[in-house]
Amino acid sequence: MVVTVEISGVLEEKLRRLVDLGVYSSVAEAVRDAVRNMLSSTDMREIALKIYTTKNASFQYATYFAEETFDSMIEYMLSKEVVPLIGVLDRKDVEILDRGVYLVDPLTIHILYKSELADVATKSRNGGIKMLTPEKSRSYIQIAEARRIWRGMDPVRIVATAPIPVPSEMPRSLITVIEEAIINYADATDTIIISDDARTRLIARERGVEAVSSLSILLTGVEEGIIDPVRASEVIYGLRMIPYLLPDHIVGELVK
Amino acid sequence: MKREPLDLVVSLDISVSMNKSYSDMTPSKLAASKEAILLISGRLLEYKHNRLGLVAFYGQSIPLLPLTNNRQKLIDTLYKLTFTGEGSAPGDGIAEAVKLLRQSRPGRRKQVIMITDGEINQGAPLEAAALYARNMDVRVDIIVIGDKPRRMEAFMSAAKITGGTYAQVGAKNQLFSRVIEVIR
Repeated sequence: MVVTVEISGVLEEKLRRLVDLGVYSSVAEAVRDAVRNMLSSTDMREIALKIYTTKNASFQYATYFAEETFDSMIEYMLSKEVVPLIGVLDRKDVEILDRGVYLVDPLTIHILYKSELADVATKSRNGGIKMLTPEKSRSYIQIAEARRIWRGMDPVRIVATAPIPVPSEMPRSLITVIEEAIINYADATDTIIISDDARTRLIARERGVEAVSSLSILLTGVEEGIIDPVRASEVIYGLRMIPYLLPDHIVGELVK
Repeated sequence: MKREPLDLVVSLDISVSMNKSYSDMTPSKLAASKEAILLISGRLLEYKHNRLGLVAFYGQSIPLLPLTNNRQKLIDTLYKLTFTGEGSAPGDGIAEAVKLLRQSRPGRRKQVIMITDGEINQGAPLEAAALYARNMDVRVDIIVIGDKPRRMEAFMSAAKITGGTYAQVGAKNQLFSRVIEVIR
């Protein structure tokens, strides 16, 4: 990126002295260092939160921008009285999963493995609900699997990686390149996305791509009879630890 | 900086008034409080050395869950906690929570978070319970849901005696923010 900046007066004088004295090799280098210092002293979480609350960025984009983990970004947002839109907002976010393969994004991988939805998914649809994600998301799977084992939960393998092309440039919508790749791939292959990021679902739907939340896995398990209402309630309680948004009427439907 | 492991007991008001909704806390203040407890546990119990216990109170107090790192036990307990009772004895709620913390070992932080809608009409005086907490090196943070309680000063003073905080919250996001803040 080339930026033209006019600097005059005392600032110019001081910059030239720094270069004359050999502190910087050029004025451009001094300016670059000033920008680096400015960015490192800025709380990126605060900026990410602003982008999230005012520009409708996805939660995953805000987390990427802040260079935080999903958990630490959730905690930061909650501390600022912002409840991230993770989970279910209305009934259309929850569907019975009866297709062959679904696409999932990194946040959803995180939630599946952190909650008991991963266990439900492995038992569902005669051998498990099949979910794919781009190769670029592999590290999210590895971290989620490791954390699950560390927490004493049984290891599960429910998400596979696939050679889904990921764009090299950031998309115009405030989503990450992985979310963009998933939406593009779902559009091209007529696949449904499972995403717990309400903004990701919204952007997908705006592009004509069907998107549902991971609670659909629980609904499918209940409808198939592999999980009873009491167990479903416990899975829901586990999701609340994230916290996962769940309107009361949908909970009522699942545990009736 | 590495912090000492935490033994935390949540003292939850289950008086009849907690069954009512308040702003976006639906279907009830109790349901929102349970969500807040789950939120705390999701963060605390991620670390194996932290433990969480649960006490419920109305006109009397009941120890429900001894200190544990077992999140499934907590989920089961909260799921089955559907009853409420007449009266409200927050002083007893604090004292019972401090009793649970007697299982704590040296080198661990001891904390009680009380979530209540602010009625006091029975049981041990709040100040006495707070003194007991202080003498047991237990910090007590008090969160009142809903309108300003009639005896707000008593709650504030009780929290202060123990080095804890008092806060009044009117919406779910404020409740969540508060519980995250006090376990930091």
